Amino acid sequence: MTIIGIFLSFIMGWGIVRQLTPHDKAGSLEDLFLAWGVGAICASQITFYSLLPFGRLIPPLTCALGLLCAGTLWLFLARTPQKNILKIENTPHIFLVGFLLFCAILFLYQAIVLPYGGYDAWSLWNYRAASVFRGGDHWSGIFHNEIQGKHPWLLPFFVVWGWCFSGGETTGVPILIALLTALATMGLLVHALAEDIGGGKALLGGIFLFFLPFFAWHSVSQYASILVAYYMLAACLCLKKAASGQGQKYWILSAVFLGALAFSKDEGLVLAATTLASFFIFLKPRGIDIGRNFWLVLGGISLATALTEIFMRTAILSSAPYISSNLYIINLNGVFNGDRWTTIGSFFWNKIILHAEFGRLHLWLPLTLLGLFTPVGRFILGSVLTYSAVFFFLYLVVAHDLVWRIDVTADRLLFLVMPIMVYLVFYSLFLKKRRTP
Amino acid sequence: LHGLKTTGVFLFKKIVPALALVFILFVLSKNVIYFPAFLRSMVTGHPLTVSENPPGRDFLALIPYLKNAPIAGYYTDRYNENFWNSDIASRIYQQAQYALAPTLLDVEKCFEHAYIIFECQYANCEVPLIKERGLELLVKLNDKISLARAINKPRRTP
Repeated sequence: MTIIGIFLSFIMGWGIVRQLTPHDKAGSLEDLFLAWGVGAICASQITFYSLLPFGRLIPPLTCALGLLCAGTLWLFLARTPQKNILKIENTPHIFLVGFLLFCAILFLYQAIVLPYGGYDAWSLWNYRAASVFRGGDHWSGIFHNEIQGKHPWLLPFFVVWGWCFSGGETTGVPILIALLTALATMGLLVHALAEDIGGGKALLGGIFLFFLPFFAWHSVSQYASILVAYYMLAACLCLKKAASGQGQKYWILSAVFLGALAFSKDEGLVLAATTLASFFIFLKPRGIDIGRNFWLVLGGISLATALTEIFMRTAILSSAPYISSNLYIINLNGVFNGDRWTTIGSFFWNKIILHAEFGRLHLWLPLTLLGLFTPVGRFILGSVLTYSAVFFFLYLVVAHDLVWRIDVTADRLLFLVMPIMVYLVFYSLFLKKRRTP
Repeated sequence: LHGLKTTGVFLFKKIVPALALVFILFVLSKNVIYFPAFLRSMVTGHPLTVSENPPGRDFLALIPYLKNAPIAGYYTDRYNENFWNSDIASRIYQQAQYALAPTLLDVEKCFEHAYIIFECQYANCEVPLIKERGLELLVKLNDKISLARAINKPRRTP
């Protein structure tokens, strides 16, 4: 039963992606990887809206809504003639499938050893899912906790969705979500690289990503970080394809992924904003109309996300006690404090670049600067560097214990952009013919 | 000048990618060699090992008492000044919170609620507090964990 919920979300994603694809075009592996992300945001939003009518979770209602949506999409899909549901066409694709299976086995091993994931998995993400799932009438009490109520809800709702179908709090749901998102991330990366630089080097990019300890850890940690990393990669790739005139499908999907990015984590919200800004500054070619659909979808998703956020942070709150913490107090004088600059700088160098904790080198990161020579590279670098600057500033001004904060959060900031950085390095190094999209 | 330009293009298009590829392979090989040790460290170095699962299992017996309580106080004697900086205190608190969800556990104003959970570093730390504040001991799971209720106090709901 665990698999049914996850599979149903994927079916919804697949239905939407196929609806956007011209009907005379066969489904590709890329559609498969993109469908996973679209399905995740659909399942998450359906779970949220199924909570509203009765103010509490009624699993059969959520399941019925899900089945209704998936069934409707499937009917639409069945009515239009399709060329091929899925076509695995060449040797790199077969290698990619084999590689993903190999990764799945290793991820599964890790997931079985740590069924509840990392510390934040159960104390933050699955805790909130459990609150909704067990909650009865007072599930919304969680919004009275300053720390728990502040984070976006894509992952907890997706986990709740899975639990509704499995009938209980099975550890398999968050494990499967993490595992499939990690596989979709790697698949998307290799597929995109294969289109740009060829199958062999693309596969090397996938292997490189897989063996980065950060990635291996976060892929099974059950944190929302892996979802953000996936959506960041998917949004950038769709924007790149849309700008190169590959169809309205990619405009719409990029809007969907930017919305999902904003709904998955606070860092994702920052990334969505910087990615959109960087796209218009560095990549959007003159003369290409980005189309009404992009704005409509982006507007719709932003509205849905904004309404969900506003609802969660205000409407549920009453005059009840509010469990506050001192984690979010801002002190602007921190900008003028030289010690804070030094602490953050040394931390980034020792822990992020040298990556002393895991004992591995991250000195490959400067290679991303090669991206400066291509428009796509400038777009990605612009987004990532602005995002880093925003968080550098936040570290400076947040009053709470700086060392504790960066120790807990800073390495995840890097992880979120790691797949897109690997893409950038390989794209910049091996792109045969440099051309503006 | 033309020679300089040709050399530059050659360096940029051939030498730089080749050197970068060698470097990438070097990092990759180091990571591959390190991978088994990394897998082991995930298990042994994890704060909540397999044998301790599920998180907060010591608190599970309190669920029937707190079933209808939206919020409960949480007292621990494990920290002095800043609760969130106390690693052990906050770890145990998070486990309790996970096990007892959706009941919220309030650390800051723990004695303002109808139910108060006591989590003690030193055995029976709750005894003087219960006497002093006129609470009723509901259940004592062991020397470290117990649950008390405020007598004649209206329950605050969020």
